[in-house]
Amino acid sequence: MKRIVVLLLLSAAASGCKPDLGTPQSLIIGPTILAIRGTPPEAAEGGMATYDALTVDVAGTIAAPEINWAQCLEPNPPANGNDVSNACLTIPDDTTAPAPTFSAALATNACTLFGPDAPPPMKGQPPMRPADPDTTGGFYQPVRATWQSDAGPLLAFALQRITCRLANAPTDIAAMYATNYVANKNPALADLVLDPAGAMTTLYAAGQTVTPQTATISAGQKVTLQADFSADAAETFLVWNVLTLTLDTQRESLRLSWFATGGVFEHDATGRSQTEVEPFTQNVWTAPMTPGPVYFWVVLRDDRGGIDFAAAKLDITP
Amino acid sequence: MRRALALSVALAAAVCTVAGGTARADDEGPQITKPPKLVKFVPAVYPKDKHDAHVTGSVLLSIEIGDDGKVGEVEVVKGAAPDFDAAAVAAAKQFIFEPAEIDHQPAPVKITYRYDFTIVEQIVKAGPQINFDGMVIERLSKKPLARVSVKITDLEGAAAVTDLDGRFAFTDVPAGTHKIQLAHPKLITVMTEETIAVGKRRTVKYLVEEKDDEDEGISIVVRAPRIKKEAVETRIRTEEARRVPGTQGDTLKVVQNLPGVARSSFGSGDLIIWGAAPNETKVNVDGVQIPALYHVGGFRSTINSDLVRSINLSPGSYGADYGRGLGGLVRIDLGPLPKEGTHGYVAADNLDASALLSTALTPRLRLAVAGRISYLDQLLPLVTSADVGDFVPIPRYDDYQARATLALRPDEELALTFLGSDDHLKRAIPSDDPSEVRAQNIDSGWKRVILRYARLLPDGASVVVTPSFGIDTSSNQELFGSTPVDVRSTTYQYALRAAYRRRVGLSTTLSFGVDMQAQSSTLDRNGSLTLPAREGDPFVFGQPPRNDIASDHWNVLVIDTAPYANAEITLGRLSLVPGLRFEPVLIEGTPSLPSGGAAPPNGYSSFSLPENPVDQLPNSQFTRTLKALRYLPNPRIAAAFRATKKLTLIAGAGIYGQPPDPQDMSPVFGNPTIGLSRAAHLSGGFNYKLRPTLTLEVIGFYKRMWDLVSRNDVPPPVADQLTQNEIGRAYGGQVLLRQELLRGFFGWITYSLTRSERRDHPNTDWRLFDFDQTQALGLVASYQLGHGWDLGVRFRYTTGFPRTPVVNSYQDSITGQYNPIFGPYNSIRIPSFYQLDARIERSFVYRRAKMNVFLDVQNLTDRQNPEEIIYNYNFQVRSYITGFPTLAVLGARVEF
Repeated sequence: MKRIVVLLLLSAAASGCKPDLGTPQSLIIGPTILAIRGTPPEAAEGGMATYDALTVDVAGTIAAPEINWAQCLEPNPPANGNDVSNACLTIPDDTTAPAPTFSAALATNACTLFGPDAPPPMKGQPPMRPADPDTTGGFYQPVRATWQSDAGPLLAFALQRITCRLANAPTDIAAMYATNYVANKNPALADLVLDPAGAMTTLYAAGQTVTPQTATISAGQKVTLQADFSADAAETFLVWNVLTLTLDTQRESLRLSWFATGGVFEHDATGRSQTEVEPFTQNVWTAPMTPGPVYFWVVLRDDRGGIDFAAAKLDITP
Repeated sequence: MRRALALSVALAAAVCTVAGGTARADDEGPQITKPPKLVKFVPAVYPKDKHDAHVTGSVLLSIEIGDDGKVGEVEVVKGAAPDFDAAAVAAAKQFIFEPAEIDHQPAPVKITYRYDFTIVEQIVKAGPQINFDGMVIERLSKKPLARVSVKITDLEGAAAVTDLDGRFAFTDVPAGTHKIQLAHPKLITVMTEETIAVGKRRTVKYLVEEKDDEDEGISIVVRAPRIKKEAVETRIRTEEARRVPGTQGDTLKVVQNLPGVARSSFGSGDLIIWGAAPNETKVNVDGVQIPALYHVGGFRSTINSDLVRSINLSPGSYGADYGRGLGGLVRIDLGPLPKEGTHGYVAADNLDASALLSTALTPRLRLAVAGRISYLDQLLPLVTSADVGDFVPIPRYDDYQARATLALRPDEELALTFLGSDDHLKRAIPSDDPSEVRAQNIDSGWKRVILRYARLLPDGASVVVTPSFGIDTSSNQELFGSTPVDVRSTTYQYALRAAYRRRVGLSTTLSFGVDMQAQSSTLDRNGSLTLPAREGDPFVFGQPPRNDIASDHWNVLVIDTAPYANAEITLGRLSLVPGLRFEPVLIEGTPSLPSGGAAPPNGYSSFSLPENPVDQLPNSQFTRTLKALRYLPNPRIAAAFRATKKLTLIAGAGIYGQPPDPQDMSPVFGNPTIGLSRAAHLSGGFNYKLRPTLTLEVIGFYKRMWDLVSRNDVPPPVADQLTQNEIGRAYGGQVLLRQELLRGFFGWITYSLTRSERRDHPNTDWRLFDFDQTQALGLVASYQLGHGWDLGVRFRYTTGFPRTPVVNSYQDSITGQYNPIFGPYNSIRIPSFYQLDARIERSFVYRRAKMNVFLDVQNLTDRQNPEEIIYNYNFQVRSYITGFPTLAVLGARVEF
């Protein structure tokens, strides 16, 4: 009776308003592009970069995906809510044949198209406003990857960071920036470990020449996975703070996305913020009830577009 | 002259015979020496039915007369009818004669006597007679109204004032049709006509609507066409509004149920009226603009309802005395405070608690204070899921008011009002994934100090002067992963409104005024360029903003001074209210360009008028001649034609302007060269009184808007983020069938069919407005069951808001998140909304206190109404966020 009175006096539950949106992002149920990596992740105008992709399916990593590549030279208008102009969706491919990797030079006027170098104003017209940077002070040129998967074409965009000058900053600050700014490097995964507090089974190690023996766990078993990254994965870099108009030093945050072809992760992604210095991140995974192989992938990202990824495998026993 | 009916009975000649004897010619026998002489005649009573039937008759009687002259036996010799005979006999028996004499000696005799019953009409002038009288009563309470002036304007000196019983009377009004004027010192003068017929008395009953207690103004709404300054206006009494389900006793929430008002989006209190954006509809309290009528979330209004006398909604085509808005107009009039004693109330329900205290410090000085504070944000998580705030914004709010009125003289008053309102919304969703961290912190508030001087001059003119001062603050801070949103503003508002109104003729009243407002805003914005979102942005719930950020600090000063004039003209059955409003706007700001390096900021200044849109007319020789009209004052007009006693045709039109929003004038996030936006309204329809309190109203409208602001669709480098070449149009119709309070019942049914569209740029197609709501059906009914019980129901059906479908997606490799690829803009809709609400209330009276306990249940059927579309991580799965399930609000109120 008391509970009825309480319910009568107070508003009804709103828990029913949260919808069911299907499987989580961490569960791989079909062909999926998990990442597009540019190497180097940052280059100057006209500089070269090579792109490769992590493409997966329920049977594991797709070693040689058939990908069509295109560099987009269309700036993003203010009316578009995405980071990439809609025009980039329809530009023709640069490659004549699909290939798992793509090498190309950034546009020689990339800092004008996507960065702070606005063209001089036309006579009688107000000056043009250049593009705005992201929170790391960066400008990016999109590179489109279209994977002709078994499930049809899948789209992904790599955003290649461009090393440009500082805009709207005093000359001395701009000079200091140009001298001391260090271009981004891809972060590096060191390893992927199963049960770091116990058996410490290595599922992946950076630079491995031999794939580690597949570990086994029981169906339904809950395990901890730990991804370690290199000590310099989270870089420190200069950024022009548009809020305070000062040249600040900022540390990258790192974000690790977890994927598997079975089971359930406690979190789809984990990571370390700018202030957290621990060179690892953990997640809890519950094995599926169905025996068989389960493929894993992790994708490590930093704030400035740097990417690394790794793959592993577990066998589920009854 | 009064026709008189006189009754007279002619005295027939008496034929005498001598009793018992015959005359002897040659005999010396007895001789009648003196016949009998009637000295006392008694008229017979004319039988009523015979008289009414105009039946006449003669009765022949035989009358014995004694020697003393008294009447003995009376016999009917020849009768006319029994009642005639009886009347004649009765009268004859009372005759007195001088006795006859036989041989000079009194002697008994017998005579025959004919009594004639006849009717003769005789017109008698009886002096002044009342032939035109009546009563003036309050339409709903049926109380008589005293001191109402009633004049027959075409007869010099023919004037009367109603007495305490509401009665008036005129004598000897000449036959014919006369113009009757009803007036009161605070009345909108109204004329009507009455026809006096010859010899007949005309008795009338005028039903009037009392604006407030016996000292306040009243307006005529029945029998005479009330001259409304707004072509389309819906007015609700506060005692009705409080009883509408879903309002939780908050009378100002009734606006959400009125025709022309779309249902606001979930979690907002936005007013969307006739296809206009929320910021295009202005809310005024006693002529002073306030930024919001409702608190964030729309749970409660920002002003204590007990201070409110009336709420008037004009969805469009409003008059020249208001401006600065392309949409509708909500006018709230604060009411007088109780004249005597100390009064107030205390109330509480699930949402908040409020109180008001009012007292008359002296016979002329009255004071009131009120306040409200919410606690829903504290209560809701206790009984729901802890993540309820992730999807449903649950604000915390408070508002407070103080008011003092001083009666300087009987027709002169000074009122000082302080209004304040605050809203807070805070929610945070932590995550192990730095890019999934979400946080939102919204703080907004406004304050107004309003001084109002009102005086009724001896010649019947009125003057109202309202200076005011206000402060608006807002802070919106959000975090999407690493992308911040930080928008803060502080605006100081200085305003002065002055109006003079005077009758200049029998059928004309003029009003002049000036409406001045200056707003000085200081704004800071840091972070995302795409949040807060704008109307016209493709919207997906939960989509992170673009990753590019910027920062700016800017100041804007907008000053507009709008002299205006209105005329209220009655030409027989036609009422016209033409008006002109001249509203030049000065806009100054700094900087005009993005600040960079050491370069000092420079400012800008512009002066503009809401030009009459003759430039939008097709180019022809004729329209070129109209170009001179472009810079003239904006015309407004409302018209009403009383086609019959029950049918009134109404129409309205006008040109409107709106200054730019200071938030759009940043050189970094917006465009400092933005000027005025313009609109033209056209509306028309009819109002039909099915019964004195049952009205059918049908209105159609068309609106066209120019120079609206939208995002620049040109790829960078661009001069500005925003451009001002968007146009809009809205059109449709609405039907309202309304039963005003009658014998405890009131209600209405409203239906609207509308379409609202925008064209963002000259090279783009028309698209649906984000707040377009094609159909809206509302039904409200409330009935006093008796013994203090009230029962009300409300049913609503609305079309869902349009949304842009996601047809595909791609992964953004930097974040690993997916971005939507949109289909045609606003080409799908959220499913329709249906909801049934109910309210039951019980009132108790104990001595001088009154207590109300109510239960207001929203969504009685627990329908899972979709409120927003939501997608999964890669936009391949679509679902809906649903609104509140059954929500019961239990509250109590004690007033004294």
